[in-house]
Amino acid sequence: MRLIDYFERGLRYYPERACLIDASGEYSYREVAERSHRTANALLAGGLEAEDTVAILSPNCVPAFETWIGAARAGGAWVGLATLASIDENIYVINNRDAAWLFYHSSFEDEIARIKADCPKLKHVICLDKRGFSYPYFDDFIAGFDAQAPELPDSRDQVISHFTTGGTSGRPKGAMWSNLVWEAWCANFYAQMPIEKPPVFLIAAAMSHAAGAFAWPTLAFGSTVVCIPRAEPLAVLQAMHKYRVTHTFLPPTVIYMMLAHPRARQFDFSAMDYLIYGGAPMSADKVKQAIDLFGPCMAQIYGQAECPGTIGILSPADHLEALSAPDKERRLTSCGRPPVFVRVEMMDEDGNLVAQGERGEIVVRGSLVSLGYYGDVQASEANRAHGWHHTGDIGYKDEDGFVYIVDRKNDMIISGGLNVYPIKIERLIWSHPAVQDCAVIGVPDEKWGEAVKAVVELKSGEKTNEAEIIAFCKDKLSAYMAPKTVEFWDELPRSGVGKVLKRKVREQFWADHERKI
Amino acid sequence: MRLIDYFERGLRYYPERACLIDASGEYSYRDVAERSHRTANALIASGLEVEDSVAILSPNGAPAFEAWIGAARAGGVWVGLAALASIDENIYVINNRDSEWLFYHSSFEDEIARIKAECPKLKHVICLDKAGLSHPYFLDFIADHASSAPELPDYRDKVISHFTSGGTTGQPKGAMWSNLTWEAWCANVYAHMPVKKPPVFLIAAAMSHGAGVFAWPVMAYGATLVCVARPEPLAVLQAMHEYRVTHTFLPPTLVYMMLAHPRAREFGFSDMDYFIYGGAPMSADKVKQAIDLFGPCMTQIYGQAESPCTIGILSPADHLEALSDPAKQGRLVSCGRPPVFVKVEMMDEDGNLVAQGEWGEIVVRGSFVSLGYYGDPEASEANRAHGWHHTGDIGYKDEDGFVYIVDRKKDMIISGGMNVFPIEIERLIWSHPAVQDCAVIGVPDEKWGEAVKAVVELKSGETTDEADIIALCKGKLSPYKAPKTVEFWPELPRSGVGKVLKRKLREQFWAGHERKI
Repeated sequence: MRLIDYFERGLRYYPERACLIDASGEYSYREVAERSHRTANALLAGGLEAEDTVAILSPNCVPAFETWIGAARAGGAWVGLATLASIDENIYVINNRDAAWLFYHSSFEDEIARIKADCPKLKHVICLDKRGFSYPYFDDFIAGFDAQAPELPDSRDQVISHFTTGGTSGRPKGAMWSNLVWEAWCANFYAQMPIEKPPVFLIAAAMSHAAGAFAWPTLAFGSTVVCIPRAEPLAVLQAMHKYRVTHTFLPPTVIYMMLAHPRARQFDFSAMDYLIYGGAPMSADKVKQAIDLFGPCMAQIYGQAECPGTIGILSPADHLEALSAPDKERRLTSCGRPPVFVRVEMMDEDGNLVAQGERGEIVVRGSLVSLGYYGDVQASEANRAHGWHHTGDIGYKDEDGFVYIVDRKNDMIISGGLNVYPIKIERLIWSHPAVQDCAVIGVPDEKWGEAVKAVVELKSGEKTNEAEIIAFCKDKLSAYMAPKTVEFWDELPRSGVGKVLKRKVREQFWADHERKI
Repeated sequence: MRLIDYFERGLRYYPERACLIDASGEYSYRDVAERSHRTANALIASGLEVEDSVAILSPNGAPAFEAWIGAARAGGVWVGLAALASIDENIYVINNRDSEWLFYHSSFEDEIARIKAECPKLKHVICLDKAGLSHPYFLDFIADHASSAPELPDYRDKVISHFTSGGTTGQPKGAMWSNLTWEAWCANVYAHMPVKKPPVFLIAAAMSHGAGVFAWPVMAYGATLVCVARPEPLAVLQAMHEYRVTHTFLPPTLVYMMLAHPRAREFGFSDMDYFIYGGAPMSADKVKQAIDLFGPCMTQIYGQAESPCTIGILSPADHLEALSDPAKQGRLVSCGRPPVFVKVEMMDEDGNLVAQGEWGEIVVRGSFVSLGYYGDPEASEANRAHGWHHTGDIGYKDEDGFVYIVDRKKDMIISGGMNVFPIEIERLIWSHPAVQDCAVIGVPDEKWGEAVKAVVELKSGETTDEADIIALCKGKLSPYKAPKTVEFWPELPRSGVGKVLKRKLREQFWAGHERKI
């Protein structure tokens, strides 16, 4: 199976059904197919070869998804840029992935000149949604091309997506997904979340990340993919009602805001089959509220860019079972059980699998494991020791096979569903003239899951304050990376060799919390 | 995923559930796991290396399945011998697959000396079910071995089964299934036949063929596999009732006999989720009767050894939809639509895909296509022309995507769910002193789907009769291959170059039948 085949199956059986919907209108499978053929031909005419990368910088919208389908048809490797990331970070990604094509949304018109200047490999820049901007309009780019693109071979191991991750160093790497990686991910999806009626998938969280990846398996069953630009709670609730949404993917923080919304009970969610959340568990209390509001459709997913989607799944039935018995309620703090095509074990530092109940690094096997990081053989190899993929998460399994994440091997923070790498923020804070040292960690937060916190040690005799450090960070970093709070300690805890012990710092804030993420 | 991992998942979550049941007793996942480790260790100790083949000759029974699980754990390749085939044919298969291990059931004790003598590569012959016969008893063979076998790597492309097929010449070939072949096949099963409750799978048709293969995907969900020795209608009905069976796989001929059984309505079938049939469609009338008796669980599968088993699936919902609307009733004679991980098209003789509605050879793509025939690269290549796997069946698709088989590219007959190759029978009949020429074809038959018929041209002045020809065949062939009827024609229809035109012959018997199989 090639990635395009999921779309092709939807087209084959449901040509007149709406495939893509956004504020601009509704587009049938037949229409989207036709434009995707033209897009593929335009890319091929522009010199695209199999596995060449095509970057997309856009909030959720129809043309952004159309270019993804078109690139897949041409055999191009999709690179979804994070609209919330800084321009510098996206410039890094475009360059690192050797992207020669960039499709951008008009909301980035002000930054496009700088991106073009700083990305010398970019050859083709196309504006997705408007004519008359500094680069050609998508519709014009594809206009002269034929609506029948050449049929590509069934290349199982061809890379068709670079999914953006961080890895250990904090630089956003590209996890290479082959057609087979997609096949395994979709196989898990169908096995654990069977599709019983034509799906309506709402993309509200960033299409460039999990929400986009989740849309593809449903396309094969003729789903309608509804795009709203961002996961704003009222807009999500309204779209779920209006389009009779069956599937969506959201971070817990957004679900909490939706549950708390005063108008939440004005809408109808009776079509919901799977409200998928990931990145963090939800509290038992919130799960109860969510099931009460949305129905028995809550599904938690644990995955990462390197093992798409489903290292663990806590199914709707698992949620109900957990709530049915007090001794099972703690399963809600797990990340579920491995789906059928995934093996998950815990490994010690020496490469031995540990016994059930013991903690170790969560390691994974299965066809879903990505081929490695684009252009970074060393980091790819590091994740593959002992014949297993290493997640970098520390966890354990209970006797029923539920997997609990207890800490991260590395120090990444997940705040509001976005990955934050402390080292990047620490480097910036270190550059402040008053700062001797600092440690950036995630602390528990009702809204964000984890909030970014900086703990700072000042140089002797120097002064600054919380607001100044935060402003300093906001000036140079994507807004979500800036610390929410800053504390000043006389001295950071350090190991014998002088290394800051982040674990000790975290312990101050995570006491009484089972899951240290 | 390795084949053993489907079993391992069942074991992990349901260790105390019954895994295997037959007349000898009931065995939990834990019991079966323990013996499978000992079996794997015994095989490895006797020299088995990964991809070495292990043949099993047995009617359906727990030890035969245990030997399969044990071989899979050791990385051995399973070769399921057909209990109904002739001993000569099974000798051919053992030799052709280079099998050094043979597990046989005591019912073959009388033949085992001859098999051993004629299969010089066989080094280890083990009796599955009894001590004190001519070869060591299974439980003695494994007795001294440890119950923890070494963990094998995740061999995606290693061959783990040789599924017995016919191919073009009528010699039973071994279609090589890798772990990935299994993974893709299971992915199709889960996507289209989602497991609804802990399965109870009845193996009544031959375990060495489709029924055994279907048992594996459900084991991952803790299925109980109930083995009845052979598909005798009353025994099947009783087992379905007694064990609250959820899944089974049977040929239509047997379903018809069950429907006609006077005691059919004495039993309960309320647990049935999937009553799978294959090899031929069922008439609308019989489908109605079957749904009336067994519930809305009828599922047709179209597959072959070379692309297991889901080239097409007619789901329970498809059956109901076909019956709900006279315009759709014709779908019941289709073989369903391709599952999500399979692409199916029709191809002309020049390798071009033909338009919807046109006839062509049915060609498929997908990870489930087997790696080729063991030891026969030429036949393997012949099936792979133009980047697609060639099924050898001629068919077309209707506008809704349902696939109809209208004839066979080759002349194989399917009688009672068993493949019969005319050339084998023709060669034998040609050896009769009175016979000038003959053609063996399948003719429509209420009970067998197709019945084997020989049309014979006698030498001038010679005489023989139907009984004589049938007796000749029964003496040398497996009984199901012997012609049910023989006709004598003064002259067979021939082409200009003197080749017998089987199509012309068949036309005499298939007039008024849509599907010529």
